[in-house]
Amino acid sequence: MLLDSLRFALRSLWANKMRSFLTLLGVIIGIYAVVALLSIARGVQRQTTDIVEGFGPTVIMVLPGEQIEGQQINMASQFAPSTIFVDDVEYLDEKADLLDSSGTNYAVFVGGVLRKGEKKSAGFTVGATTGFKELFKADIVSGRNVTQEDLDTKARVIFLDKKVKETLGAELGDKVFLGQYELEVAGTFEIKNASIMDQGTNNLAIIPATLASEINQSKQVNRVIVKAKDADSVEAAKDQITSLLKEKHGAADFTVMLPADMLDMFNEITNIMTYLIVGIASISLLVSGIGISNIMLVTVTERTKEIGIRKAVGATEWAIMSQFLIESVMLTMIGVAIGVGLAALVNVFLAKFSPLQPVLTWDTLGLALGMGVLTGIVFGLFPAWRAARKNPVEALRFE
Amino acid sequence: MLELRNVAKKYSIGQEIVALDNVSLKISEGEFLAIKGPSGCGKSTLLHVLGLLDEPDSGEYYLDGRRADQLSSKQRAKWRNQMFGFVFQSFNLLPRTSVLQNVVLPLTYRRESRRLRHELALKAIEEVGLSDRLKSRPNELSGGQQQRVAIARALVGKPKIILADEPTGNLDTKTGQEIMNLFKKIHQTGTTVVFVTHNDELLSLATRVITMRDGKILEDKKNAA
Repeated sequence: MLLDSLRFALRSLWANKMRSFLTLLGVIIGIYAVVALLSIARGVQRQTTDIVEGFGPTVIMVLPGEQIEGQQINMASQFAPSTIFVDDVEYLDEKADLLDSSGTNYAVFVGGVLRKGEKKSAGFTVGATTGFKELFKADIVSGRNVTQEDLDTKARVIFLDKKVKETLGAELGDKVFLGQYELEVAGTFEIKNASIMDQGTNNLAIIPATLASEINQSKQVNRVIVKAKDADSVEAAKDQITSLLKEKHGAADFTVMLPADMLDMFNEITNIMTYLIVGIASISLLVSGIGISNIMLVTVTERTKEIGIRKAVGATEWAIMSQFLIESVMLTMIGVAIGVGLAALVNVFLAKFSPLQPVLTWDTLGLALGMGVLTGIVFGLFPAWRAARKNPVEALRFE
Repeated sequence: MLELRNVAKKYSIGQEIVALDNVSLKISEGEFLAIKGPSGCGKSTLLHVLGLLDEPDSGEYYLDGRRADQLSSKQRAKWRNQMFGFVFQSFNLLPRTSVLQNVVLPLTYRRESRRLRHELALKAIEEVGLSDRLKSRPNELSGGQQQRVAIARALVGKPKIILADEPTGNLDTKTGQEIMNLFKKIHQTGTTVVFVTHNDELLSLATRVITMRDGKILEDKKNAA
């Protein structure tokens, strides 16, 4: 019975190929939009997760400004002068005994533009400590990493990301300018896990943190990165840092975070994006659904005689209704298949030719399928009901 | 087996038309009944009411001793499927659908295995002599062949009663004769046949002839077999 219905449905859709296809366009576009956008969102989520997890389970970060859970991010604190200073880093090194002995790393943002001859690069210049390479999983392409000696002597050196290096046309040993400071390129690197959400890492230039303080004429620190002794003591270490800094500053003008916390925040944002995408696509499915209702009503009218014949040989109202429902659901399912296929194809191209790495997950597929079936049922219901309620004698007389 | 008691049916198409005017009729098993009369006399409506395609406005209908005028639409569909086989003047086959698929159609509304359905359909097609046209579409067949397919479809569910509404009306005389001979054969196997016609030649085949006019039965005459 079901198999027969499926076959009949397919045959009648095929008999009106052009009409079916045009009706489907809306569904195809809607489903394509959902799948493509969700794939990108999931891809970004995965990349970000990889990066955050790449930090390892022991990393703890200290940011300037207090972030209050459940409220919007205190953005101004990220742009205003930092509330954390180099002596805080030293204080933590000295007092926080739950931290790994490898030492405390920190980053100082520098505002200047890099220049070599006529060429300029408005990248992201960061004063960093020796742990930078390990934290960002950077590959040294040529030269070396930041050393303790660089830090001690405030060495006039700079380390360029591949992209910055290309922009400036700088080679190892060349001189580049950061403001009025002339720096020698002592190393170039590449960051494997660069995510598009993390544009900073794509245009990164590193100088010794101590030199950054001198350029900024301030001991402000933008990020402090420490490591707990092991994964189990991360929470305890976090609490210790919080209480130590609170005591020293007299107030919580800073935020201690685990990368996982950041991930939660980030995922919250992408989830909101997901709802938005589904909402917008629903509108397209709604519009295409009306088209489906319309075309199914036409089909029902055209096939009035067939309905009469089927009723005469013993089809119940339910059998007629399910036949037309199956047809409209099958119509939308074909739309879903084409839409998903299209999105999958575009995903492959995006992965190859753009920094995006879209991921088509099962929940996305399930959602697309669910939305398709729902559209088919909801908008097929009225035409199917009309078909089922037809009077057999009148239907048989229909020409 | 079929009994109508004071069955009435009115239509209003612009004006009110009395299609059946308190008709009472008893049809026994094994009859070969012809209904004749001018067009608009209510003979088609009578056939539709008998075949549960149409509901009477008043009166009682007994089918195998059971009330059949107060059934739910689902029960009517079920009884239609199991008790009746319809043959129409204009064949009423599904277009773009093979002979085999057309004949199998009534069985798809039953819970029978695919194989059994297939077997029964092949047998019915053989009975009407179209075994070599299984895959043909209705538009590839002559009128006589199409009506044979329709008869096979009516027979496939092994109904008790075949109801035929001017089955030869769209056919030439010779083909009409062949179709009527087929009905005769079906009747000889014990199936009750009720058919509507205004062709006098066909009436001679029937065991009983009812003449209708203005929704009433004027004459009810048994033919000598």
